[in-house]
Order: sequence, then structure tokens, then C-alpha cells
Amino acid sequence: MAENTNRTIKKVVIVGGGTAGWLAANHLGKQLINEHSGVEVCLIESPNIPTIGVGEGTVPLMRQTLQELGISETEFIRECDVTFKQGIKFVDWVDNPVANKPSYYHHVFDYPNITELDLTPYWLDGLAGDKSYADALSIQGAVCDAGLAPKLITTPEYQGLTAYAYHLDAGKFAAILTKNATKKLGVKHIFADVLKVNVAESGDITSVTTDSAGEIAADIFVDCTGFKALLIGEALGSKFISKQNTLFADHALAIQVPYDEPAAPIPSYTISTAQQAGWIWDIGLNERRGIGHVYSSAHTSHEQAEQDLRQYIGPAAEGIDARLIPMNIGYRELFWKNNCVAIGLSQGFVEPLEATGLLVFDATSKMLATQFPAKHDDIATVAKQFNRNVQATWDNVISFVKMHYCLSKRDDSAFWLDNRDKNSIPDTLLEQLELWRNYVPTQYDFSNRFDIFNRENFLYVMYGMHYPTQIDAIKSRFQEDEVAKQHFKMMAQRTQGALANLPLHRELLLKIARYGLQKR
Amino acid sequence: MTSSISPLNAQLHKELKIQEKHHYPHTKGQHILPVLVHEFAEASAEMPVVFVKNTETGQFQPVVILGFQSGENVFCSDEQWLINYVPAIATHYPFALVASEDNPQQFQLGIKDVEVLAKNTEGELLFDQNGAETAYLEKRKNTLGQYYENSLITEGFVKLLADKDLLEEQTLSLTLKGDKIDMNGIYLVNQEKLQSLPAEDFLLLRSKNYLLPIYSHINSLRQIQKLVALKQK
Ligand SMILES: Cc1cc2nc3c(=O)[nH]c(=O)nc-3n(C[C@H](O)[C@H](O)[C@H](O)COP(=O)(O)OP(=O)(O)OC[C@H]3O[C@@H](n4cnc5c(N)ncnc54)[C@H](O)[C@@H]3O)c2cc1C
Repeated sequence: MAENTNRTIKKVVIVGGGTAGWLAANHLGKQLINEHSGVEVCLIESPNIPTIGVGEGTVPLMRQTLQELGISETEFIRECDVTFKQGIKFVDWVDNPVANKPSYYHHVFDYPNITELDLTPYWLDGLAGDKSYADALSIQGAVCDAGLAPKLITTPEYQGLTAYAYHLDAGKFAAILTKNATKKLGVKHIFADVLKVNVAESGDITSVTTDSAGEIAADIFVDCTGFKALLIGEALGSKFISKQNTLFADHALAIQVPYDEPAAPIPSYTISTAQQAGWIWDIGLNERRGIGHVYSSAHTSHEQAEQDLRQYIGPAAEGIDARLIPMNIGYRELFWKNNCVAIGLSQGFVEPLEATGLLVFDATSKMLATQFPAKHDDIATVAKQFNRNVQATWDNVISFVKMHYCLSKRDDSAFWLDNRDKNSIPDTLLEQLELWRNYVPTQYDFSNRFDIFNRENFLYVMYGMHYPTQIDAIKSRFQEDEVAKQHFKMMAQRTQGALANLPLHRELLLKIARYGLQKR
Repeated sequence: MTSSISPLNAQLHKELKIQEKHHYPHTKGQHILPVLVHEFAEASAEMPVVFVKNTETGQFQPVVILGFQSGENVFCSDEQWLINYVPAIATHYPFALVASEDNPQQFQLGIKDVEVLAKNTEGELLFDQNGAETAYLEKRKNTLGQYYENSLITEGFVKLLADKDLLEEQTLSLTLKGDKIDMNGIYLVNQEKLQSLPAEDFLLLRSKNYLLPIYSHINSLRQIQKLVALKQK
């Protein structure tokens, strides 16, 4: 391709057809393809290299994305084996486990009831009695415990009585995204293996050479090749910055098992149960459960990890193989280098404790699509911003995930003790935790607009884990005891109302399968 | 009021006698009743025709409004039905179609309140000496069959309105004996959306003869005042 000056960007090629690739294809297709733009978006997917095949938990942003992309919620639920997720139940994260007496807390999606008055200091002061933070400030923990759905069959698509996200089948999800991108948005789909990435002197990628579709040129390339990072890493040499010294888990053992009985209740939340050297996710889909042990191979052996996983599941896992997945923990030095942008596992990854994979890839695809440069000369500036924002996003995710480990009081294995070693904790998190010993977190502690986890999330986890904030020095600022008590009482009433009205999770799913949800 | 319903059976129900009551007392506790798209034009002259969501299935269902709260039907007095139009569904009593137990896609004839009917000493018999269906039963059955077919057409009508995103939730607010009443969960065709429908969609509505029912529905909201007047009597 001739080096003419400031040419218009006419063609984007996405390499990789996992969920990240298809999320990017949808966002870019929606934003860029129309009769007037003349922009072409094309996705190359290998028919031979499998996708990672995990990634079944999402966060509420997914609801907004699907709606924006014009996908019907009913269709999505029916086609992707979807169940509702109202948060994560963390089991045995706080104290050493006691046999047959698991302790837990919920990190729910409904924001805590902080409107004109932040109830947190009043809760800390004991005005809600012995109610947990989540139960005092939201209705959703109780809704989860009762096994209820977040909405009624009469509630329109994408709306809920509580905030919700989904559990989904990763393969089926990629399929529905493929259909939407190719059939509705006009994204071109090519099945071929990329054999070689051709880089010009300038450091730009000019084209990719494929085994069966020839050489494909483009103005911008999106690397969605998974952990391999074929373009951004192998071809352009954007370094991988490991965060393994902060987050130790580097392997996962994943398995899919049937329910003990077909009509078994389905939890409307992800269960995360802490182990000796990591934790186990447990996600209930309609037809099966997806379970995985995420662990640090420096703190346990693969054999032991598998044994722990099977111990957790019991007989349902007999005769079913678990799949070992090595994980690169960290992110690229540059997510956007020259004319190549990394979205997906090629961009970065941390253990899926808060289901951040799809979230970050969804958010950064949307960022890319919205900021997409029209002219070649604008790339450098846009790339600089993108790199700054995406790095801040990852650092926030890493801090938040690390906090789950820092606040634990477990001392029953080296893994938990090592996790509280100051050298393993990011400085900003250390500083904040120090501050929050005597102050309640405020919105000003979370000033980055692109942070994915904000005050609400930190509050649920901190106080779910009994962080000992002492408000004595600032107590005189909180003089609204009566108002606060009134709020706590109202929350208790709302909880009773929700418990009386919401249907059982599986019951609602059956109805949606049968009747569907209305758009309005 | 939910009444028990049992599948009609030539042996068990041989002696039953049906007396039709033309003030439809069984609807006394119903503040809404389902209607067919075929009924919109006539019903709209007497009562509001709106859409609600079926709480069991979430599906939109066209209904007429008969009262302001559950348990109240202002059109049904102790001895007469007070207006000219009777929703078709009210006229089927005591018969109804019930999904058969072995095949939920199949329907069979059911009968309500058998214990009460058993006390009737006069009225139409359903089966003759030989256990064969009487002409009376035949007639009632045909009416129900026709109703069922029309209800499928009604489903298609409602589905099209929902697919074209024409239905919107609205709260009907009115003042009754000085009190403000809000009726929630009511869906109406949004006139602006109807107006700005792409030409091909509008033609589709026309070709299916859906325009009259749609405008009847929109007009029928005025009948709310008739309910208020009856209620305040
Ligand atoms: C153990 C584990 C658990 C996870 N749990 C969650 C979770 O609960 N929630 C969540 O949001 N996320 C989770 N994730 C992350 C989630 O799985 C990923 O975010 C998501 O699947 C995106 O993956 P990807 O598309 O980047 O990569 P992949 O799925 O690996 O896709 C790579 C694609 O690139 C193609 N490709 C590779 N090389 C070539 C080539 N040479 N030529 C052409 N094509 C090529 C492949 O064919 C494939 O289509 C988890 C990840 C792991 C490892």
C-alpha cells in the first residue's frame, strides 16, 4: 500500500473470533458501517484454533450492550442457555473455614441505598442492628438467598426489579454475537488461519497473510487472538507486564457438570468459594453448571487443585474431565500500538473473580468504536488516550480484585498470608485502605471516570469482609440517626415486598423459554 | 372469584341443567375481562378497551375495563347487565376450554361450578337419554370453538402491535368521589408512534383490517367517564 499522506481510514480487520473479537465486531460495526461511511469491518477467525471456551459470568453493563446492539433479550436468553446473575456470593473468604459451617457475604449489583444520605456510617455505628451491610442497605442479598429472580414475567426486556447481569454459555454467546454482527450490522466474516503478520518499516501492520483467503490489508487491525497476542505481541512487540506478584492465581481447572436433578434450583448469583490456594467459581446455567478452580501453582500442585475441585463438586463430576487453562496475569505495555489495537485476552487478563474479562473487553471495544479515528494522522493521538484510559481501567480492576485477598483474615495457608504481604499490594490500594481505617469511602476516592469498580463495589466487599473502619474522629458529622433508622426500616419493608412478589429463578426462566419477555 | 372447572363428561354431567342468566352474575367480581380483536369496535362504544399483561405469561392481553379495582364490576348489578355490550367471554359461562391433561396443545370442553349447577331443576340438558350431545350443547360448543379461533387471530394482532413497539405503559388517573385513583399496568397504543410508523408497516395494519380496532381502542378511553358515572350513582 502506498504511503500517501493522511489517508482516510476505510478498512478495519479484526483477527480472532472469540467473545472479544465478536464484541469488538459488533461495537465497530454498529458505529462505523452505514451507507455513507464507506468503512468496511471484517473479522478473520481460525477454523482450527479453538476459543478459550470459558467466561460465563457477566456484569450489568452487558445488559446495556446487548440492548444497544439491538439484540432481543428473549432471544439471547433462549439461545445462550442464559440464567440471571444478581451478584457474587463469596463463601469462606473472610475467616478460616469451619467444617460444615460456611460463612459468606454478597457483593450484589443493586447499588447500596445511598441517596441524599450515605447510610454507611450509621450502619458502622450499629443502627441497623446485626444486619449485614448488604442486607441493611439493599434488598438484593435477601432476594439471592431466597433463590428468586430479579424480575417478573411481566417486566419488560432489559428491566429489572433489581439490577442484574447474566450467566451464559460462552460458545453460544459468540454464536449470537456472530449472527448479529454479520446479519444485522454488515460485518464481513472470513474463516482462515493467519500465518504471517506483515509489518512496514514505519511499524504499522500492512496486511496479514492467511492460509486460504490470501493476503488481507487494512488500515487498522484489532488483535483478538487471545493469550497468543499474535499481532500486538508477536508482531509488534508490545511487552506483557506481568501482575503475578500482586495476583498469584495463574491456572484454572474448568469443568462442566450436570445438575443432580433436572429441576434443581438455580442460584441467581455466582458462588465463589475460597480454597487453600485460590477459589472455586460455581455458575449455574439452565442445562448444566460451569465450575472452575482458579489457583496459584506456586502454592499448590495441579493434582491437589484437581482433587480440591472434585471434592467441592462431589459425585456429579465423576467421569468428567477437567480442562487445565494456564492464565497470563497482567496487561500489555501498550494496548494500542501503531495501527493495531488489542481487545480481549491479548490485551490483558486477571483472574475472573469479579467477572471482569468480558466487562473490560466490552467497555474497551466500545471506547475504541466511539473514539475511532477517521484519518490516519489522528491515530497517534487517539491511541495515546486509549492507552492511558485502558491502563487506568486495568489498574482499578487489579486493585479491586486484590482487595478481596488483602481483607481476608485467613491464615490457614501460605497463599493467604503471602497475599497480605505489603510488597504484593499496589501502593494506591495500601494508601486507600489506610485512609479508610478512619474514614468512610467517598465518591472522591474514585475520581477516574473509566473505573469499572467504584465506591459501591468497594463498600460491599469491604464491609462484607468486616473492614474495621473506626469513625470516632468524624462521628460528629453524622447527626441523622432518626432519618437513617427510617431508611433501614424502609429497606426491611422493601425486602419483604420483593420476597413476596418475585418468582423463583428457575420458574421465571421456564416462563421466558415458553412465552418470552415483552420489549416494553 | 376463581371457580372450579372440570372436563365435561357424558356420564357425570348427564343430569345437569343449564339456565342462562342474562345479567352474567359470574362476572360480578371481575374488574377486567379479555376481549377479542373482533369485539373492539362494538365494545369501545360502551367501555374502555385497553391492554394489560397476563401475570402468568407476561403476554399482552386486550381487556375491557369494568371496574376500578379488583373485585368490582360496575356494569353488573344484582338483576341486570347495565349496558348494551356484553364481552363474548362472559357469554360462555359455565363452559370453557381447558387444556387436556395428556396433551397441553389440545383442548377439551370444561364446565364450571358443577356443584352449583347440580341444584338446577330447570334448564337445558347437555346430553340426551343415550348419552349423545344435545343440540344445545352442540351450539354452545361451536360458539366456543369459534371464540378459540378468533383468540388466535387476536394473539396475532397483539403480537404485531408489540413487535412494532406500539404499546406503551400508561397510568390512568381519575378522580372518584373526590379521591384520586391511579390504575397501573395498563398499556395503550401510542398515537405518536402510530403516526410515525413507516408506510409499509401502516399498510400492513390496514391490509389486516387492524386499523378499526386500533382507533376503536384509542377512542374507547373516553368511556372511563361512563364507569365513573355508574360508580358514583
Ligand atoms: C479460567 C478463565 C475464566 C474466565 N471467566 C470469566 C468470567 O467469568 N467472566 C468473564 O467476563 N470473563 C471470563 N474470562 C475471560 C473470558 O474467557 C475472555 O474474556 C473471553 O473469552 C475473550 O477471549 P478472547 O476472545 O480474547 O480469546 P479466545 O477465546 O482465546 O479467542 C481467540 C480467537 O482468536 C483466533 N485465533 C487465534 N490465532 C489465530 C490465527 N493465527 N489466525 C486466525 N485466528 C486466530 C481463535 O480461533 C479464536 O477465535 C475467563 C477466562 C479464563 C481463562
